[in-house]
Amino acid sequence: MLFYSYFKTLVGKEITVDLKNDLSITGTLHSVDQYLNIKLNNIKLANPAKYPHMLSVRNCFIRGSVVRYVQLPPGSVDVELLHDATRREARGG
Amino acid sequence: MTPAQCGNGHAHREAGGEEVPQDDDTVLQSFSGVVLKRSSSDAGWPGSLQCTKSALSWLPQEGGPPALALPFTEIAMHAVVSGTGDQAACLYLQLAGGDSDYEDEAEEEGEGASEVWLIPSDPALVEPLFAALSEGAERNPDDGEEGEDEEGGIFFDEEEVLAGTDAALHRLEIEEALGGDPNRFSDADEDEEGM
Repeated sequence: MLFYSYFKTLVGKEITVDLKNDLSITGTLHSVDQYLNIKLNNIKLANPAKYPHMLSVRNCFIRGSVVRYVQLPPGSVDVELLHDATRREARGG
Repeated sequence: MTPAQCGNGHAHREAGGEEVPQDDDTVLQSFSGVVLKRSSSDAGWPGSLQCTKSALSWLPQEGGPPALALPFTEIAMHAVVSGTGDQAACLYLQLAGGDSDYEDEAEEEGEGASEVWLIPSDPALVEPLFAALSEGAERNPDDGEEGEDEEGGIFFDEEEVLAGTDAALHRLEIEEALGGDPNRFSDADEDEEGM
């Protein structure tokens, strides 16, 4: 549940989600669930030329299992905190 | 398939009054007057849409293309497309295919239909449609076949993490052994015998 809890702290911030099919969507994080399904508002595409019909898309729902990467706003990542939390999870704590 | 009323998720009752559990074919939501397009250049065909526990199904009106049965697990992303002068508001879906090789498949198959448009004749249905698809995705997470283990697919550098762990444990062991005397690192007094 570590990353579910972490992503909840990013609601309202702008993130970029890279899907496994190479689609890259930037938007404001509206909500996330335990499967890391992501709802983004006010989206824009990194490569709009590839998907021209997505120009008038405002809000989207991304299935957690198709996410490859989530790019985070640099100022909102406490790397030390995340490292510590990940080590605790790795130890089974 | 008998069309059901919107929002009917109740268990069926047999004649004898016993409750039958909801099965996978139970229609949870239905929307009539929905045009389906498999590509952006498609004219589209009217039909009706139904959501069951695990899939979306679209049935054409009077002839037209074959019906579409789409498991929610195959929808990578869905979004509301605002209406413009040229096009009514609709729902745009990107399909995933479900395999690790799906990217190749989608490109090879001309008919692979990696995109789907659902255009309701009543634009007010766009938001409920979006919600229905979101709920379908939430009801159908992957069942952890991707080797979830305990990390849940989180990747980390095992050496780095364990190195940090070892160092911390090592520090704790030393602290215990020395009994935590704060002066243990002090220099020896000058007039004490040297080695």
